[in-house]
Amino acid sequence: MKDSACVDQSALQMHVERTLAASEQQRVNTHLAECATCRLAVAEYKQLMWDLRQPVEIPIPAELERSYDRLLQAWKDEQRAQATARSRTRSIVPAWAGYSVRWTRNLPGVGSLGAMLSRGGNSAIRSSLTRLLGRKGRERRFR
Amino acid sequence: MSRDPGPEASALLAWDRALLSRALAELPPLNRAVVVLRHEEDLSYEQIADLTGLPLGTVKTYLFRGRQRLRESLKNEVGA
Repeated sequence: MKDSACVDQSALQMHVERTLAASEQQRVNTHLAECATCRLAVAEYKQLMWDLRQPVEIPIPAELERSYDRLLQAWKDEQRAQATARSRTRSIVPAWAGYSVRWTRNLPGVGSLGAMLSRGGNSAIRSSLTRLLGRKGRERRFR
Repeated sequence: MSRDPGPEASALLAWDRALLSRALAELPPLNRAVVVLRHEEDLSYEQIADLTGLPLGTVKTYLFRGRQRLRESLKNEVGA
């Protein structure tokens, strides 16, 4: 069955992630019990999300490759600032380090960037994301 | 953790990895960034919104569309 009664793709994804509100979850469960098409979609999303959690070689986006030097410099500046004054703000996403290094080239010396960034603050992280997203004017908001 | 999945499983894994890698590369940058933040970094919707400065609803939209596109392109590749 695949008709207008089907729940939308976002609800199916949230079902897999267990992020649906209880009432919505009940509605999705009821639908899944009778819809093989949506059950298949759920199975595929489960597979996809599992796959995404495994190490994936991601080609470096041109926008980040271009800004790699600046990313490194942002980190160095951050480290210098932290060396002189202990930052009171802890990074909410130290795991970002892994993300950064995955998106950068696996060159000698670059591999440790992730570990270094994990001790850095939000500013280097956010500036790297800003460049990644390539959205002009967003830097101002991050500061 | 470091169990050898065997040659067949490895080949299958490599195939999947390559497909997923390509599919990720083809996503628009913002969709890709949100998907990676969610799944590789295991951030919540709220954390991604905070980190990116995007509204929560926008984060969800990019995430859901990104994963939908990934699923579709992987299906197309396998079916091709």
